[in-house]
Amino acid sequence: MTKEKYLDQLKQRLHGLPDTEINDALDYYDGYISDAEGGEEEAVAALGSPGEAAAHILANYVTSGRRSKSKAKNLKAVWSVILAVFAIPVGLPVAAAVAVVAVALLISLFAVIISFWAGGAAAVFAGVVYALMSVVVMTKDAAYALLIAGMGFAGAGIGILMFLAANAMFGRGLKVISKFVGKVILKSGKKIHNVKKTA
Amino acid sequence: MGITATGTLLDGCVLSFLRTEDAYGYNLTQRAKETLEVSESTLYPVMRRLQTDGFLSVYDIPHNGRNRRYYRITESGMSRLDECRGMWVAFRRKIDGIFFDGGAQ
Repeated sequence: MTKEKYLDQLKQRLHGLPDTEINDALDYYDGYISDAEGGEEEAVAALGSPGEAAAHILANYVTSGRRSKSKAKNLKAVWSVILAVFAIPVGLPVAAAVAVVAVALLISLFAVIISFWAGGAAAVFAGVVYALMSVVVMTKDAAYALLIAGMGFAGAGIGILMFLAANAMFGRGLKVISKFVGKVILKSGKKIHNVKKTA
Repeated sequence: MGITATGTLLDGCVLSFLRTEDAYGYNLTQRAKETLEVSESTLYPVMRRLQTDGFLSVYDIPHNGRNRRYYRITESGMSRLDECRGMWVAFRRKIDGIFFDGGAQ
């Protein structure tokens, strides 16, 4: 095998690594083969297959912990699993089922939130109306006016609390749903990976 | 086939080779092959990792119309070598204990 062919095959097998890593390896083996005693062919033969060199490089890259633990990279991992799921025929129905469940969960979350908002708005509105009414009644019956005002303030308070609860639920619900979907995707990705391995 | 050197042992070997003089990849690999059972493609990832971790630095010297890349051990590479030696001594003591004293400490 010539040097060019060796480097070409090595490059193909390193596909997926960062460009800096690939270029450094190609530079190294380019120099290595040129430095070797004897002819180019013998040097390449002594070096072993490009696959072997690539395996050493990839194994080292994966175990050296240089893969960052950043969220962006993890997100990338999730995306590559999603793409892998879509890439195989078995994956499509699984992905569709996950998507349908996720959408259903989102719709029910929105429904609950919207009903809380509506309830809260109604309570606040009623509370304000009662408070205003108490002002009108004040001159005729002070005790009754105070009762109405109290009911009004209580209603408004409950309404505001419902708003706050709805907002808290919204944030937390979204988080729970997205976590659940992520977990299912990663799990099915692993399962499919295992099925592929045993097949 | 004997015992294969991996991981920290290879780190220590490469750093030891470079302790007294700088060397280039082919030269280092041939020296390693004299005593260790390593294939010709074993050392590159080791040197690359040592380089990115700052234990080795590289520089180029023109040779036959191209650049030859030399590796040099850094200050932190020297302390990493000391670490490797310490780990090796501790490891050797443990294995000796198992092999020759049946696991007694």
